[in-house]
Amino acid sequence: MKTLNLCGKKKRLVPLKLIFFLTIYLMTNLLFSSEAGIKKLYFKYSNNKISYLGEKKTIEPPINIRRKIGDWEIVFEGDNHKIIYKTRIFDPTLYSFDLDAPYTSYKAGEKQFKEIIFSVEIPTSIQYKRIFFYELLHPFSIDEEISPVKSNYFKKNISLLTIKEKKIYSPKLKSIDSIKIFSHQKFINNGNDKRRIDIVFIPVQYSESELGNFHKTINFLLYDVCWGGWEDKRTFFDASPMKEFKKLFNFHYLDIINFPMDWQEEIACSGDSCKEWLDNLIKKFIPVPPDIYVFVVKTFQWSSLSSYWSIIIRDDSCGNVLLRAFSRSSIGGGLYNEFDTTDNCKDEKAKEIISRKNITVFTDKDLIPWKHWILDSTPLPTPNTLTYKNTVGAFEGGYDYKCYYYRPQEKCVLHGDLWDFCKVCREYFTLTLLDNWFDPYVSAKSNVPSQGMIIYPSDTPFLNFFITVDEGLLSMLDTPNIVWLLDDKPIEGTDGKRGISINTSLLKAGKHTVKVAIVGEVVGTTGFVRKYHDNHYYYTFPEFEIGKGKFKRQR
Amino acid sequence: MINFKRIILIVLLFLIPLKLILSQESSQREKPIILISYQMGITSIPQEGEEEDYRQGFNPFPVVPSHTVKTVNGEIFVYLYRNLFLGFSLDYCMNTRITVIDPSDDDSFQFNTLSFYNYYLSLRYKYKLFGISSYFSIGVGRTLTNGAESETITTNKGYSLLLEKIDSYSQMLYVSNFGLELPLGESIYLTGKISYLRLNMDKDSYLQFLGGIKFIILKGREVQHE
Ligand SMILES: [Zn+2]
Repeated sequence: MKTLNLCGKKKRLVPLKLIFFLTIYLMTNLLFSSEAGIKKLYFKYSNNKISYLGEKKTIEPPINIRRKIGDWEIVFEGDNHKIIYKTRIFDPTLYSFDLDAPYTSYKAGEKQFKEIIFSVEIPTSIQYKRIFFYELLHPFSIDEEISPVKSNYFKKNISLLTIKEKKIYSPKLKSIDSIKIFSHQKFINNGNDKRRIDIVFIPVQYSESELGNFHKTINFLLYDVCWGGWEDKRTFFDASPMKEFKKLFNFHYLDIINFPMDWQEEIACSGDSCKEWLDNLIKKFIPVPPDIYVFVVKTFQWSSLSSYWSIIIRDDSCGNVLLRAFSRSSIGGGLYNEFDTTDNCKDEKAKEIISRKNITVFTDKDLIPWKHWILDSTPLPTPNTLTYKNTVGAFEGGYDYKCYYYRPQEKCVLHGDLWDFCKVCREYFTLTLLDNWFDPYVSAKSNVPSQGMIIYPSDTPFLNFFITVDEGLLSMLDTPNIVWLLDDKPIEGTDGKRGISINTSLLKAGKHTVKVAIVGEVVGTTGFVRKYHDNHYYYTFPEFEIGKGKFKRQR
Repeated sequence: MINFKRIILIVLLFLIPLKLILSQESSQREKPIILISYQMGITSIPQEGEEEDYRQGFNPFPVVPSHTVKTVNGEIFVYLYRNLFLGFSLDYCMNTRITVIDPSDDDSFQFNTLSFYNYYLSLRYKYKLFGISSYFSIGVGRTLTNGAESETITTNKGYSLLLEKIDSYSQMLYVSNFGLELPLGESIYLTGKISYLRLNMDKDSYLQFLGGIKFIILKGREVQHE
């Protein structure tokens, strides 16, 4: 079972200040609460949204919420997952939770949570106004004295070679006979489909004679972002972090004719089964299911982001549209759009409380998800003036509204006005790519005997471990280092080596584990990520057992 | 090799009734010609190895402490000349369970020692010591250690240890005995002996304490010098 942790690696010590605050708060509650007891509030989580079900006791929640001093822990247990959220209480009248859509579960071949019902227990004495859930990007940064890098160092234990394998589907949906696939082009090829983000362009409602236009559209989407004049021509891969992560992508297109607009209705699919059907349709050409389908539709037809595995794009769009669509898809971490087009702030939608990723309703620095980017000198909300042109703050307007919502920077691809992402979106996008796709290990070998066999130094004086790394990916790292660990402790003198030998006679009897970690910064992204992030890519070799030795019985 | 022991036992058992028949026909003045004895006791085995021999991963249990093993013995002696007898002895030294300790972490485990046989020919000289019939003998023979199959065990601290396979092996044996005999009847004695056994290969020496019964199964007329 894999344990996922939202934003991965933010387990850290609870600052003393917070414990102190909570203690005072809890004591105050105990002294002044008129009626003792706990009430249970039920919520439903589906399609990235939380809805309140009321104070019912009839629904058994499928998750546990355990209350601790200083933070709350929410454990979601799915069929194949366990996700633990750690949260904190930041206001006596508001309980908050870290409950973002777990983007890590969007990966191909994995199940995602469709609907979760959960409950929150609060003391009946609390007169709450609202309970809401948002993502705390850097919850305990204020009083952090202990370096998070030290405390989390080498704690992560994921066998990267096993989690990235994509599932091959075997759907049993009907076929559409009119569809004809002529050919397949993998026009940007960075190798191994199983461990790359494979993006496939599909022409919708194209005839054979129109395929030339389809090719032109693809060319335009990738190589002309529509901004800048001739002197400043940018391509899709000129925008960071696409530029830095270029090697993680494979791009394909399929020359298909008569692909119907309403294909989903025709085959009567929904959600994942639609993707399965498509995967199956093209498997003769692309055997490993791709990660994102980009449906190129003709002008005046539908054009928007649809689901985590597909993007619908108009054939007259520029590259920035594709870039924006990407960053809003699961691959980019599902960022919000930052458009500030709607004036009507009395709209119901504008009452939705959002404070995560790149959009917030708060202007209190402590409550802003990207506060780690905000300087103390920056006014909040941040005036949209020349002074703050390149400053991260809280600029009013975003999520389609001119008011109520705040975005991190004046300009961003998601705001629709530049080919650059703002620093906050770029960070989020970067972390999503790092967490889900960066896997520099190609293979690993060792002479560790099969499970259950005990190693005696007299028979096996040395154990050898080797890794093969993807040199292309390794070159993405600024100062790559390979660190070997025995039982989570670095092995002296092995830094940077692709293979090591361990003298078994120096090992204590018992079970041991060898891990290898690639440690490094991503080229050009040194400044991209400001919040703590564990840039360690581990491979764990099978556990082995050293025997105490051999004994010669005597008279 | 085990069959060999069985044959000896059968021969010995066959000789007892023969002795009874013969003893009825013999007179008191006759000298013993063939004697057999059955004895039981212990063999003391000294400590093997030193703590300094400890080597992680290779020799984790360097010391096998001294211990004693139960021993059964059968002997047959034939009169040679004057006070001299020629004998054949067979010992079976049983196994015992002992504990060994890893000096580095006090880990321990128990194992069954290997059982073994001693068989040797000896020359016995009989004499009176303070009026008690006693004898001294020296002998040479072989000692055979029984092998054991390999086995992986878990020590008390939960580590795996391989008990190596041991094939049966034999080595030279040198023995000297000192024994006493107390007559119980006309042809039966109570007997006891202390033996010093020296092994060639292992450079070990054992002490053995045995006690039992001795029968005269064949007597003959006195020869001229007595
Ligand atoms: Zn942005």
